[in-house]
Amino acid sequence: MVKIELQNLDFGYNGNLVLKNISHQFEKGKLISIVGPNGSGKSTLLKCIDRILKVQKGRILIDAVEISKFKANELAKKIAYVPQSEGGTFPASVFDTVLLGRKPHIQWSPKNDDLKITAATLEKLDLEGISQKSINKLSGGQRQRVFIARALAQQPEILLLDEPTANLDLKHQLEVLKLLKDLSSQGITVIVAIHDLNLALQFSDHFILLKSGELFACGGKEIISNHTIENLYDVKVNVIHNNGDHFIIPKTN
Amino acid sequence: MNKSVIKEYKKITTRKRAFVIGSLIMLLLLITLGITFGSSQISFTDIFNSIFSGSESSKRQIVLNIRLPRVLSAVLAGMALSVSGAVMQSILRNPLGSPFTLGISNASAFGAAFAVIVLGAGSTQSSVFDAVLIDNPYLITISAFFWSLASTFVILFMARFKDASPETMILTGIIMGSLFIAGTTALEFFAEDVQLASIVFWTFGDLGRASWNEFYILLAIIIPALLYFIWNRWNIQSLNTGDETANSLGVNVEKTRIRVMLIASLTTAVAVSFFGIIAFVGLVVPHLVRRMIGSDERFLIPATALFGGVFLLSSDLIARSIIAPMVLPVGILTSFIGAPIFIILLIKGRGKNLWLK
Repeated sequence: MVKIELQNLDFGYNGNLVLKNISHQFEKGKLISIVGPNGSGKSTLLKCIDRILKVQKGRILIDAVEISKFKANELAKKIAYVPQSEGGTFPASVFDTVLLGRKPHIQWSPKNDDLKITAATLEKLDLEGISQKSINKLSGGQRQRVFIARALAQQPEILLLDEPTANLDLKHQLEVLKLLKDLSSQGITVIVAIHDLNLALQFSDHFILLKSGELFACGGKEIISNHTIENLYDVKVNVIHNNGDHFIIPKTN
Repeated sequence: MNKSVIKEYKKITTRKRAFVIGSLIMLLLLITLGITFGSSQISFTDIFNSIFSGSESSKRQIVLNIRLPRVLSAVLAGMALSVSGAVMQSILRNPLGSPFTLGISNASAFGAAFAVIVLGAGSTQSSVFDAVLIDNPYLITISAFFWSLASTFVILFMARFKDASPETMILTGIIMGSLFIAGTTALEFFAEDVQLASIVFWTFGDLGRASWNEFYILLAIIIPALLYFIWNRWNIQSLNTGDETANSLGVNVEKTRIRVMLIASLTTAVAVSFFGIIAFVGLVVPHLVRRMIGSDERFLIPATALFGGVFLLSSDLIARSIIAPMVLPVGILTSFIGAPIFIILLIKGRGKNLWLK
């Protein structure tokens, strides 16, 4: 069943196209990685899917309904977005930050159900012990978990994350991706823009390769070969296969 | 475990609610004190009799025509400036945001002076209270608002198109403020003596001019503005997290930011056009309240409004008593009180508050 469908998307700033004629269909409940060099349009694509940026040409359909047809609140119940970095000027507590994710569902003030969902999300992400801590006092890994928790409190069907592992140490990178994998197996479609190819290879079900705003290739792990990666990044690499896992080692000389 | 997390949240929410109620009680007490206090001693019984009995005593005249409009206008002006400051800080994600630092107060003062001198909203005959008799308070407010928009749009332009850092926005505000001070000075240069006296009036805030007429206009602007901010509290809260996140949470970012800024500017413009520039209230009060209850807009907006009333009313009480029987313009006092408080807040570290661990 098709969940998200991109049809001939164009998006640009001041006449320079950042996305060119992108068409693709995302399957439901998968972990999808968007990879490509800097400036290839990964973040832009995510922002277009969540209507943060409005495409200049083409259509984005969710369950066959064009996203421009959704009211802002309705779209927020379907899609949640976790940006690459977020610096709230006025820090809130972890609980309040995650509760904000209930905004699309709250009419006037949060009901008991909203509080329960917030508390359950905190528990799921192992944040309940720090629920009243200021988010400014958390480590990078904890903060990232809080922002993912807020997105989950929206109870979305689609979760978009821009570089969720940037600025995280190895342990926290693994934690975050394991969490995203879990979420996708629970039926949420998770789409991440990610630079770390080896991490992406370990956890993703599906890949979208972007180069200069164009869809370079897409498919499962099988599309990741020396040839594709070398052409995508213009660097020499070795793709090593080991017990069904793929690893990419760049050649330095 | 879930239950204890919710319990802890509710406990903290109750404390925030208690702060809002406490501010309201403090405000009501200060209003009563403000009416009784002054060169003519008036007791609580006198206040009660003045309001509810029809006698035409001099005390009734003082209560109804001088003290009550002054005290209630102080409350509304304090609310207007503080709430405008709080929402501007939140939607621009800028701790230094306030009507004064963003140049909006100076622009409004220029607009008021412009209305008096160029548009002829005030006639130059002397009256007992003021050098210039204001014939048309609406024209002055409209002109103040119009010019405050100029400052607002420059700030919005910098925020939106230049992706400005907080520092750039404040510098822009200071530049706009200086520009409008220069504009006011230019008007002063060409003004007649009596007009000059009235322009100077707008450069420092004074509540002495308050009458029922001004009070009703203030009320008609501030109450709907406050309701609008309260209605949009989740949107304003979301904007504090960043445009992209706010968008993803279902907020129409551009529309909300422009509307909130316009309404905050209008609210500021009305207060400034009647009472002149009352500095620091819009900057210090939101920070004091944030320090005490955090930045949850659900409580921050009403608490800042009430506490703003408390702050300006207490400042006015001090201004009326410090060199009695003379009355110091309250704007001078808010600067003397506000500046050190703000420096203390800066030294102690902004962003901290008493509830968060």
